Amino acid sequence: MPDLVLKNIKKKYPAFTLDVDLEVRQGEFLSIIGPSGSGKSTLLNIIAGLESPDSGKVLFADEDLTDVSVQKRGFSMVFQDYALFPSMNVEKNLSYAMKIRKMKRGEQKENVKALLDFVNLSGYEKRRIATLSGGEAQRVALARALSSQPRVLLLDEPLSALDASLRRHLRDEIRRIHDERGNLTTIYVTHDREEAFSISDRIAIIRNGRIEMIDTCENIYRQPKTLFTAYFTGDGTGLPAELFSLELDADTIFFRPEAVRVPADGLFYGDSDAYIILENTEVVSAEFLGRNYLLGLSWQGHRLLAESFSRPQSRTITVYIRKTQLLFFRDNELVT
Amino acid sequence: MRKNRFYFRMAFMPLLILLVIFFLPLCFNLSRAFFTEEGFTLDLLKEVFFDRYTYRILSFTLLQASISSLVSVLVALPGSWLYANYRFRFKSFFLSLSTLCFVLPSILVVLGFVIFYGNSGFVNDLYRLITGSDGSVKFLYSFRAIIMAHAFLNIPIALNLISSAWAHYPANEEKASRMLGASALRTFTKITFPRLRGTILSAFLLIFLFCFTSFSIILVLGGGPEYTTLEVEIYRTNNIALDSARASSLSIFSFLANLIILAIYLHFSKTEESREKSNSDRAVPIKRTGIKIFLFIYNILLLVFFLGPLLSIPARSFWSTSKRYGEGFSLKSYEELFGMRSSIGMMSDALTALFNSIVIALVTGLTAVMLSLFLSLYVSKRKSRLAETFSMLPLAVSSVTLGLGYYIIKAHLHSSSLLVSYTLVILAHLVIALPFSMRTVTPVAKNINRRITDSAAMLGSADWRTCIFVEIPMLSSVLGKAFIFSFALSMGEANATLTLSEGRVITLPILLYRLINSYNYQGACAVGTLLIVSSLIVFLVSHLVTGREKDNA
Repeated sequence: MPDLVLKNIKKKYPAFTLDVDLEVRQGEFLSIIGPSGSGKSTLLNIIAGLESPDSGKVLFADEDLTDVSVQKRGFSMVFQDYALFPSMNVEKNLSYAMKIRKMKRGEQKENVKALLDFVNLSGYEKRRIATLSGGEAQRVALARALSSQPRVLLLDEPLSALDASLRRHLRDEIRRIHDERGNLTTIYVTHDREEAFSISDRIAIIRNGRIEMIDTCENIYRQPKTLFTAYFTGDGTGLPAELFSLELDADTIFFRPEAVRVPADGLFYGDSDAYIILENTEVVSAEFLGRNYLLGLSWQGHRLLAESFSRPQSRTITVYIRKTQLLFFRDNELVT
Repeated sequence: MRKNRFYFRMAFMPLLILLVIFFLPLCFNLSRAFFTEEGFTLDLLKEVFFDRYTYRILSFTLLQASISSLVSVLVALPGSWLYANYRFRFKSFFLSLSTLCFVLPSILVVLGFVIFYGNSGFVNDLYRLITGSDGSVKFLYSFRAIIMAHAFLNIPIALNLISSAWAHYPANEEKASRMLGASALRTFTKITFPRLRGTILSAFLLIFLFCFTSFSIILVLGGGPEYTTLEVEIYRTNNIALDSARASSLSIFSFLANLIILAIYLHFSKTEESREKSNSDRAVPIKRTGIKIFLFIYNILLLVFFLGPLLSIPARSFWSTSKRYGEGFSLKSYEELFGMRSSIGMMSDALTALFNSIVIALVTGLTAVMLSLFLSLYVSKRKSRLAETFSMLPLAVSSVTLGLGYYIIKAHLHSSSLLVSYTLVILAHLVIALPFSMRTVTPVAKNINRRITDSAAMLGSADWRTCIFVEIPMLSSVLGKAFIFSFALSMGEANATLTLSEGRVITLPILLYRLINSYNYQGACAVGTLLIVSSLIVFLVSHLVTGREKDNA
């Protein structure tokens, strides 16, 4: 059942026009990813009510929220720069929304404590905002966003100011919060595809103000609807279709690095009919990723990316691309 | 942007008040130049605008302002280099001492100069002691005295403005230039100076504006028609020649000139504001002995130049030169001041003057802060250039012009009520303080992260609640600073008060002015000491406030 619906939302900007239809299901964790300047934060602001669209409607559970003020929407947002109130301590930040809702003092205290326990910051009540580390501040921001018992939680690149290991830890935390809060409908904006893949139920790819594709992580990776989505959601190679005599009306073939087999000892034991065989491929680079290598290859002047479990021993090798893992595009659209 | 009218509604009242207390008197004043008993005329204006005498005054005004600003900036430049690039003890103390000059009443500077540099002043005593002669070096009542007094007030301002801007230039640009092989000189001329140019120009123009409208320094230290500026001429025409119509025509002339300077200043300071700033401090500890010595000498000279005139005021207040009461150490002035000794003339008004000054300054300060809070929030929310420029306009009107406007309004009111006089003085002070208080609050209000107010709104907080519980607490220390600023400006204000009150409202600076005029220097110094002490208290409090702010950051 759709929970949050954006209908024909349009907003004109000098650089692009935002033009979006979107349905978010109840309890869903949806990520919106896209390059910077693609309109993802604007979209989030429109959902929040911080910006108003030129036309279109924002609906929640069939209620039209388009003209409902930010204060009354019942949504919460976590920002990249936390936006904690610097003149208040942690406790006051967390009880701010409760005071507005005229909650009793004792109840406020209990709730603050519960929220801090929830984000693993027990005992932080009296801490001043300036003394918090980036990770702590982000947890407080999360707790504060939950303090108003929101119907939808919006997250605008909440982790991009933190370092890599902390980012990984906190993103699991965010998913846990979503799950433990009875599947709180969550919209997460990021430019980091791995982050999106690791926590989302579905992902929306946005580009130039339009949604290119919205689907599960697996479908987005394996069956990208557009060439842009294919490239944006992971490594891959696109080659002109005319290089291969294929009975298909496509201009580009696309494959992920894992579709390519690089035999370790030069000997290939497989059904060669199931593969496209590229001989005399030059190894340009070999990037060690821990579990395997990402090879940069050059074949007849075209660049290829391939996965390999060992470092190639010679400069020129033969590689095999599995035909079932090929994707075909015409005019940047997937051909099925 | 989210649509909300809350900030507009909040700013509406202040804008209206500004309109009434600033534009109304201004119009009253300026309209005098167009209307005589025979009706509308441009003759008065023509007379002033085509009078060669007006242009002679204008050219002198421009000359003294140019030289004063040039001297202030040139003397401040080496200091700015030291203060921006090196770390040393007492630096922040010196810098905050320099902010004192923004609020130092110019009448106090005048007094300090008379006592320190006058014929029987400390400098000439020293001169006679060293040379053994009976002569003296004539400093005062000359062009040089005007420039020196302006430099006294404005060198610290230039030092403060330029060094604080310089301290925030990213040092990496210079490092990159050096690494690309440029010499220190080339790096300075090609990288550092081009960045600095705008800052220097902006400081120069601000000081130029201050000097252009300077009044009491010219009036007392200039000492003659030879050194008359537009402001002094307006005052003289109105209050001594009693030709208020001509004074109004002159006010229009002066207003136009000021407007041009203000426009140029705002233009350059705007481009200056938008420059990239780095948060890191570029200052490093001093290693070279030469620089250490240079810094030491610079600071010592600065201290002597500043503290000399200022400290001679309290010193002289304990020194009687009267033949009748005996020469030497004496507490006479203070006894008169506190009513322990009956006195003839003005000394008995001292406590009343102190009380008046404090009450007027309190009301002015509080109101100025309220108004600039609402206006600043509106300006920062709406990015309203118009409202910002509007609130800065009082800078273009000299306090004499403004005082004259209030003087005319008072004449129209036909009221002899003392309350009316007090109210008009407070309103005039408010107009003078507002641009300064706005300039203190607005940059900080503009820096409030919009995400913070957005967050509050999303938590369900109404705009008024966000304003009271989130924004005002974030501005509290800067509001305190603005209050102290306005308070001190009002405490020291003499020009408008002098022009409009006709002696009915006596404040400390007015009393001081009269005591100087009646050559009661010991008394003047006692009153001056009172003013210095109150300025110092203000300074210490503001120092505490900014200190606390640093702790919070």
